[in-house]
Amino acid sequence: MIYLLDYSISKADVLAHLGYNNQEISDTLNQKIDACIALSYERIVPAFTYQIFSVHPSLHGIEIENTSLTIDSYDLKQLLCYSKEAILLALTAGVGIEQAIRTQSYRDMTSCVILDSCASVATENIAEALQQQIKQTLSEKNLSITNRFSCGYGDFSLHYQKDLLQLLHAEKKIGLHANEFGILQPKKSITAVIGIVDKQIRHRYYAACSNCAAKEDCAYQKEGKTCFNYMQD
Amino acid sequence: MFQLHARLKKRELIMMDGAMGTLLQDRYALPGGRPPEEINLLSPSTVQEVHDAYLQVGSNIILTNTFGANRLKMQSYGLCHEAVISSAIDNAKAASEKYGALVALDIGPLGKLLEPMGTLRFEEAYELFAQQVRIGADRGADLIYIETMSDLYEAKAAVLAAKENSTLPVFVTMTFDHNHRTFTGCDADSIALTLEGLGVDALGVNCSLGPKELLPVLEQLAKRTALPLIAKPNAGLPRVADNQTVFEMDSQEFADSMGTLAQMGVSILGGCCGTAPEYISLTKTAAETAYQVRTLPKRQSAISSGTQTLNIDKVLVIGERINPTGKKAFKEALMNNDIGYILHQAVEQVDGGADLLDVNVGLPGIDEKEMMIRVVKALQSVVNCPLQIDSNDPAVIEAALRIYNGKAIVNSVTGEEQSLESILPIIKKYGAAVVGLTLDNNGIPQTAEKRYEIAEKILMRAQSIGIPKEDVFIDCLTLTIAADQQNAQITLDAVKKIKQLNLKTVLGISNVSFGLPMRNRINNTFLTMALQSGLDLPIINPNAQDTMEIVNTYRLLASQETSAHYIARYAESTEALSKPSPKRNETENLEYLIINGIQQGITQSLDTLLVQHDAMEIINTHLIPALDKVGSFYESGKIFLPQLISSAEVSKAAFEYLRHKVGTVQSSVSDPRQIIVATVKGDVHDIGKNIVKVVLQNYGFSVIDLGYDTDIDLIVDTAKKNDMLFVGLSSLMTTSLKSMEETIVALRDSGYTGAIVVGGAVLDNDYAKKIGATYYAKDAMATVHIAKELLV
Repeated sequence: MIYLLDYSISKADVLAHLGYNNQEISDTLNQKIDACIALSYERIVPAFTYQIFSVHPSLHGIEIENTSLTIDSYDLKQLLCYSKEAILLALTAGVGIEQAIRTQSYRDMTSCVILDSCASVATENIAEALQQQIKQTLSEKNLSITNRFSCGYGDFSLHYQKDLLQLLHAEKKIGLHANEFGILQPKKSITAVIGIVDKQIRHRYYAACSNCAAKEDCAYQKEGKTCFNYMQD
Repeated sequence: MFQLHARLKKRELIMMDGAMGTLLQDRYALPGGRPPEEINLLSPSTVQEVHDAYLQVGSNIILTNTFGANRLKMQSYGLCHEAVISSAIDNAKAASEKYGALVALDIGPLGKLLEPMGTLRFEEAYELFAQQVRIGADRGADLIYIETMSDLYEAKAAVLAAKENSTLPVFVTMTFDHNHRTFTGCDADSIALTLEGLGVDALGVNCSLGPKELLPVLEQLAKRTALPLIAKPNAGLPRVADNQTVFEMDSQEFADSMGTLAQMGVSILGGCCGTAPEYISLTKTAAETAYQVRTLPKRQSAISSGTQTLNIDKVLVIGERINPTGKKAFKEALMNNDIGYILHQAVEQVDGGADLLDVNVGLPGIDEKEMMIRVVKALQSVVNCPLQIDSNDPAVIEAALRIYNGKAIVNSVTGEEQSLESILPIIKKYGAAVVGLTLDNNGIPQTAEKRYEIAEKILMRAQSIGIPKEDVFIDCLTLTIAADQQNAQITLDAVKKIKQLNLKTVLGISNVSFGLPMRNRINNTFLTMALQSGLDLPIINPNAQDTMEIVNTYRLLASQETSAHYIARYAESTEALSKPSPKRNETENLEYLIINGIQQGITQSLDTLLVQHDAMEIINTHLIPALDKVGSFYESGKIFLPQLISSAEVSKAAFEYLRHKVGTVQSSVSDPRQIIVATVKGDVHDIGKNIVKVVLQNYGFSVIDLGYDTDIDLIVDTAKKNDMLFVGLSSLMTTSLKSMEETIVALRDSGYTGAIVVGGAVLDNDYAKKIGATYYAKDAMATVHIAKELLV
């Protein structure tokens, strides 16, 4: 709903997303990447909405107060163990970029893959920017936030995607939907739960890698890293 | 009783109501997470009170409390949509009776995104809306109010449902964003053209923004449609204060802004989020003073997709290539359900400069109707330009217009009675434009005068059933001069004569040279003559550079485009031409180009090689080794994904060039068996699948791409119809793995015994085996290895 988000798409991030590992890059490829970044800025229309809810632990997870929603998730319970309130957020890069990616796949598959990465990086950065903005606002009240935790992380089932969108009226406010498989539409979108904690508490919780769906073929793990290392917050 | 039709006709001011949800919440403590529609059943008196509050301040039309009362949403709350809608109508009628006001059945979005971005089928959306309409109409609603739509396609499904399942008036309001488009990218022009064409009674805007922000959108709608306009905005922009959403405008400020809208001629006024009865009361007072009947805009010839409108006020190019006539590869693609091939041609044509695309998929042996639906839906997902539906079968035309998002052109109707009777009513119903061919039962007349007479007849018949003149385009028909040299001149004279009727003209060009040598020269000269005679819409190949140059220079010389446009278009191509290509010997060069993924120079390199080697030899001793190198570079990490794909695309181009040059080059894979690739039902992630496709093709395998969110039946049918090497299924999410499993079960149940290869981020070997797949492929190269293994 609000468009004051300043996000950027850095070439280094795009390359990292594409699995770049210091290979030599030709001028043509370089130009393609630049063109894709430019096209992304043109076609991405970021939109977001978020709301603060009171939360308390339930037997198997978290209960969102004043709603009928209880989320069964051990991981989410851990994330919110120091929080009385949590932020539910939803954001999207919009349908324009999605169509651009699809069109590109019938024009030039290389650009299509690059554009897809640009859009993923942009969506992540939109989320980061929003998170920073929220953090700053809360800081005035002597509060801070945990990391972001999305459906599909750990045991936080994708089936809650629809419930989160419904609570946030995200369909009406930002045009974000989920289908019966919990797949967000438009695809380049994020929903997440963030805990609100006292400022002095620095609480981060990431689902154990052993719980992760990507554990078999994780690029980070192969390099002895984790996907959340780069979150420098 | 309020006389709606008379009021609409006289363009008198009509007052609607304001926000419903917040007022209900203030009066009735609904448990968290329950839908406001449930209050219809829990506390009818509360709903009636809210209606009454608006009726008291002068609302002529109130909306039922049924925004989300479709079967899908109600079911998710354990509610029966029928009970909710019926009680909502009863509540509204109970309140409105003593005021003589009208009750509008309120219909909001379904809550699921429609294809192509989402997975809800247009036909399913239609059925859900139809259920609501039937219940509402039976229960006594006075009109249908479709609101807060951000997808024109969804709005179209709702309008068709409303018009086909009731005789009630239909109002539609869409919701816009700050950029004056909806979330799905629709603009005011496309919305006005499409909805007016479908025969709605009034249209406009609601929700999302305040009256000030929506003013430019309403101005745009006012320029485009003569229909009464509706404004039901929010009370300004929302902001969050103390974790509560509040709106910035007070009732007086809102009313003043609504007065401005009334002054520009918006005649149906109300409010959305944040507006209470007081807002409506003050708006009524302000509007009654300010309202002025607006001057209606002059109709223009225009067509649109869901997101792009084309005014036919200059020469526009209709791309002709989506047509199987005389094209072997295209026919094969249609037979194999290979929509990817068609989409590739569509994008190429748009890149070449086509303004819209003709779509013809008629071929003996295929179900033209089913294919037309599939192709039009697929085209809408990758190109923004409008489409021209090309068929002479009324059933095919109707099926296409139904699922088309926007205002299409239909090609064509003729002067024959049967054609006029069967096709024109379809054009009228769906609000399309139509191409009239100047022929009748006696064939194509030999004179311009006779062709003009047929055009006149078609126009008259169209107008008699309410198709406006601006939507009738005439094709004077091009015949080959090989049969009679006068043919060209007759056509040109006919075009000139038709322009006297002030109609837009369409013409296929290339027929003129049929049977003659150097066809291109004749075609191009004829095109120039036709443009000069008044041709508006040439049907040509936009990828023929010399032909497009004629169109572009004509636009420049006829002042249809600024010289800046022309310069921008051609400045770049000079630059591209002057770039020198590096010197290497041919073999090295081919390998270099493939390994480095460089398209430019590939044909020259192949031409040089072809002087001394035959095509098969080039493939086996140059192309394949280069590819193998690329594959091993990728596997060892020497190159990364975009480089692998670039190489694959260059070698694919090389294969295609050789095939084109030498005729039937045997593929490097002599096995005739096919590979199906598809992203499973429910999943819309198709990049991985597309990468696999390109890399497989590039190794010479023949691949049928069935797309994403693929129906299980389509996969099973295609696998049964063809001789398969394997079926490849992709799924990115854990949740859609279930579809993958169901697809495998269905394939096996159908008797398919071949290999099934699965891939996707969340899969692994064990899981693949568990769901019955033959192989798990971790990436595109792994799939190639499996394919090679299966060949043996």
